[in-house]
Amino acid sequence: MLSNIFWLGTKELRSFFSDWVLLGLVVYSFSLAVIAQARSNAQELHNASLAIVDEDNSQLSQHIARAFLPPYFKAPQYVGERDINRLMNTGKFTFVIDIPPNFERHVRAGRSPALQINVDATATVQAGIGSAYASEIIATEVNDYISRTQGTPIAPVNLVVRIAFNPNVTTAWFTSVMGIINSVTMLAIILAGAAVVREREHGTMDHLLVMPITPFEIAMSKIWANALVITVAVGLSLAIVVRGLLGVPIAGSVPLFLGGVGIYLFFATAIGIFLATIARTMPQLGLLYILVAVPLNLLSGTNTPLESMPPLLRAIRQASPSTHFVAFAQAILYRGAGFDIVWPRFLLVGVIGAAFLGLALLRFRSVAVEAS
Amino acid sequence: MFAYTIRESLELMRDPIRLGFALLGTAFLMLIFGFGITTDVNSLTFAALDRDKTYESRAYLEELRGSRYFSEAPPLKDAKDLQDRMKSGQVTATIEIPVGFGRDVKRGRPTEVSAWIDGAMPFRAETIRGYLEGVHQQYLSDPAIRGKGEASAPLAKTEIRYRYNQDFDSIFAMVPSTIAMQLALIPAILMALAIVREKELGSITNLYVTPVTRLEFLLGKQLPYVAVAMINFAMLLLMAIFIFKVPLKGSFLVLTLGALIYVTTTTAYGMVISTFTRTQIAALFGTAILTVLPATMFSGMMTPVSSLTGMGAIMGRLFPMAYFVPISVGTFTKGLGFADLAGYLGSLALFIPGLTLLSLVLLPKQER
Repeated sequence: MLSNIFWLGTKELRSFFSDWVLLGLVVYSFSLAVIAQARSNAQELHNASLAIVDEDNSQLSQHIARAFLPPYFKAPQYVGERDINRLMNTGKFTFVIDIPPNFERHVRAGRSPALQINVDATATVQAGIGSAYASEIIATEVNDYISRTQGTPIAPVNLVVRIAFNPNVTTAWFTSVMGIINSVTMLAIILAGAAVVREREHGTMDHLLVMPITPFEIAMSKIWANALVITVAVGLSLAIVVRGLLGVPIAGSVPLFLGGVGIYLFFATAIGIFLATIARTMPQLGLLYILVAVPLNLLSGTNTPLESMPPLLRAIRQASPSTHFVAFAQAILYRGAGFDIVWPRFLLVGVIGAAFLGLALLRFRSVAVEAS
Repeated sequence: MFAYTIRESLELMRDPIRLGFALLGTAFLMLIFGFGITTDVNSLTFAALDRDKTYESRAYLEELRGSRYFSEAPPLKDAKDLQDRMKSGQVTATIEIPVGFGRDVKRGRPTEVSAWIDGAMPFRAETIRGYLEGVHQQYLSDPAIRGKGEASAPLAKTEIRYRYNQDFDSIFAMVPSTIAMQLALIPAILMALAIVREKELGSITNLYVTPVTRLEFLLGKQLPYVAVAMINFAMLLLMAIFIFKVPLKGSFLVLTLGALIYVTTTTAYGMVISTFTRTQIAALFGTAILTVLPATMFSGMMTPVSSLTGMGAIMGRLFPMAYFVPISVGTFTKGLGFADLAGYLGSLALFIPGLTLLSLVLLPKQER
């Protein structure tokens, strides 16, 4: 039985390597796509567009304007007050700071004047982080400027904030590895699923079924072959792209992580085969695939923080291995966690994966029998 | 050309599963994404390591507990516990209050509270840092804590005005962007598969042997999918308004016009992918990979396209969604009309001849 599985698997590998476009797409998704995500600064405050309405025109207001610097903000541009609406409507500027007349005079007189930051709240990520940065910059600059002339009291308690595991909060560390993880889910499901549907559409499934092999062997061969391709791709991508090209330090053990990838792939390929037993044609599989793979990725925590989801979705998410995959990937690769910390998640992914595999095999057998 | 349209429509009608998925699937995804994609950071777990255990240290932590963003996990026992729980991701932030904190505060001597934030997800870490600073400022301005020192007002106040969305609730930006994403994904995939399917099953021979031109072939196949996508659009619009309660403040006509141009471009995008793929699996995977990444990352859903750098910026600008997101968000949440959005509509329209031409060049009239 094992040798059947092995030989069928090599057939699978051969057909995979003969589709150049597919091969190219796999390479792309583990290299260029990862680099593009890592270098894009899509999830941080970077190059935010800022305009200043300076109605004060004092030394202080110029002092503030000069403090907004790249890489966080683009160099500020001066605009007139009546242009604010138009410029924010078209999305030209995400932030518009309005410094009122006599601002410096009021500050010096201790009248605590208010300065306004207009934020385009539809630029979700930037708006949140950016407005905190902007008010901090302004507060620092005002204090700094005034203390040079008047002297200010020291705050009694200081808060020292340090970011663990990624001291400079470099987004590339996060986005590169999450890019790989997204590709794993996307690839594993479609490769396994399409391998089954293709055989059915071309009628070669019947050839297989009349041979002395069981549906279980067919399914297993597809699983190991596809899982192997992806695990190797992940390993190479981590070593060459993430570590080499992007220079992301990896805190934990790569073999441990790859072991986790292997376990996760059982689940992902099983889903693929399961979907293939429901779909009759490739377009149907494609739609089913999108319905499953894209939510698995988006809700796994690779893109947006998980804590903020509504309770029902959070519960569903807890049952999804992709969530645990992301959690242990982050724990191992960023925080250097060892097997002693991540094993419960490994186990959970393994158990859910095995359950799905069982379900997929059951369906696969009945569909295969029905077809013959 | 219309013969192709009719044939393709018939094929779609006869495949209720495909049609059903195209419609119901979109609705399902909309529900998941609309509720699931959020950039609001809240319900964060923090744990405290209170080495001081005085009235003052508890007052400081009380300020944190009062924040709507944080919920407290059991207190930390020691430095080892802090490290372990940060590593496993059980807590996202920890606060350590040093011995002698209460004494120093009472005497007015400067002292320090230290916080560790889990940096695994940088965006979240930055946001948490902002929250912690906010809580800290609040603590400082609390007159009960400042004690003897007179409560001095800050030198200047900053008022933050969140425009278009006063509560800064990400749903008002995310739902309109999600509509844009859905209309990119499913129409492109359906379109790509429709063409590659003919290649793989061999029925594309019809194109090779009959006098049908390539343009007729492509446009004929495209029309039914544009129609399906517009039905999707209507459905998504209703869902946004009635389920997610995101009101359409701006011009309905501009949004619909934008959507029509947009789905024409996204089906054309699928068409381009179909021309260089030969198997359905490659077309499917190719469309998914080439759509999902630019759609979720580089089209202004998370970050304005103007702030992207490197390859992401290029991918974003070459993807039609980057021009439809401002239209969708603009009409829904910013309440805009034609005058403000004409530029985006124009850029979007340019994609139609561009992508169609590209597919014509890439699709051979004869098999090679």
